[in-house]
Amino acid sequence: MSGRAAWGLLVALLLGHLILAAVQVPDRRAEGSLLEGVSLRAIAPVARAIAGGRSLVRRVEVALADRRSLRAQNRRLEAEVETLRRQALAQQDLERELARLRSAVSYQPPAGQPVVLADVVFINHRSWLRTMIVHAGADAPAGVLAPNSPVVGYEGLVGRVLRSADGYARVQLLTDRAASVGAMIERTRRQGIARGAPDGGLVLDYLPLQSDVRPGDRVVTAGIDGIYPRGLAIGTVVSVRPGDELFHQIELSPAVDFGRLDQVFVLRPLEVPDELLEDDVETGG
Amino acid sequence: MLRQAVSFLVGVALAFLGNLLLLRLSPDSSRWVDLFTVVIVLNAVASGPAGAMIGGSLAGLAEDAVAGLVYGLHGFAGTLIGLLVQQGSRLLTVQHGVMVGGIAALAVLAQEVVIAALVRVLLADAQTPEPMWVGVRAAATGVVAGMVFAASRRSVGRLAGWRRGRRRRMRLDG
Repeated sequence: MSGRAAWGLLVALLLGHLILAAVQVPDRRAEGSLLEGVSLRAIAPVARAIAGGRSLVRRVEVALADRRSLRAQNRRLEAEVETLRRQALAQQDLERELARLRSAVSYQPPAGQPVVLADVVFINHRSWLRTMIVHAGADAPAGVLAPNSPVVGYEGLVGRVLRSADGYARVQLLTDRAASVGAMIERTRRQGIARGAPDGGLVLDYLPLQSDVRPGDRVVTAGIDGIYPRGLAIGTVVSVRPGDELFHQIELSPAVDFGRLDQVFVLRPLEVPDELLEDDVETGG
Repeated sequence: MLRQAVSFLVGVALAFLGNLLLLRLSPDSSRWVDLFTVVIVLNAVASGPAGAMIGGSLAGLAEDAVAGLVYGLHGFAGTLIGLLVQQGSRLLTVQHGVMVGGIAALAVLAQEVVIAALVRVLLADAQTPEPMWVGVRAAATGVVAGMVFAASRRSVGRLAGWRRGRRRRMRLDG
């Protein structure tokens, strides 16, 4: 027997005995025999590597599936974001409208005056006829959109209805140079006539020179013209100059910012019997 | 070779029976004599490396069967001892029982060391055999091995002499 064979036999026999003994010896670090423990510890890295490979393949599969799913989800989410963006814009509009309505609710109309909310659909600042068109809806109460119905905004008087049709009404603005309103200085109760100036502003006429009027005085409707109820804000005195005759030349700043009007309130017109009105009384227009 | 194998198997069987008999007589008998090592040594002295290792392995396994320890410990030790004894007997001219007895005593010591190491590694048992009993065991085993070797040599010599005389008488008669 060659030396190499003898050594091989020796190793085989010794190894066989060791394995035989290891099978019977309990593993101190695990359940089962020492051989089982050693085998498991030897096999575990291989098993972990195989499991890791399978896990990697599985992860790649999941990643590919996720990618497809994410694309679809991304498209869906983009559409959803667009929808939500539109809804947010609509929500902002609603919030603004709600704020306006809150202001409207806080507005106290003169007693007995029904109010109709109307949207401003067209306003003409450039024409010498300063008018706007409002829409109160087809279901607006009858008679509210009648000619001479007062139109007010959140801040004060806007004008009056000239004519109406199918829920729409043309409104003469206070700043129209053909418009005039019975007005008074709120502080002194001195009455005059507020009318539109040719330059689009507002002036207060027929206040005697001896009357007390100062810049900053609030001017409200006097309720003497048969159209507008008393107490609606018209504007504020900006300047007071002595006129050529007996009256002050008073310039007013309108209470209403006509450039920001988008909703107004239309009041039912005062129902003064025609026979009581004198023919020569100037009621405006 | 077949005769050697049969002799070995007979030796293992005798060691097995003798061990059981001794255990019946004295439970401590395995502490002071190791009959399987005797068989391993005698087989190794008369065999080549393969025979010594296989013989040591089988005898060790047989001892494991009666030792009550983990199966394979004595097989492992017997394999190593068989090879060591065989390699040693090639260097020495083993003709006397005393020499075989000494080899057997050394083999017992080597076996104790190997088994103690295996027990420590596999069973984490740091208990070392009592030196006195190891010495007694080595000495007793050596004595038994020497006696068996001498007896076997004497028997073989007598048998050879009887065969020679028989052949001579047959030639004279013819």
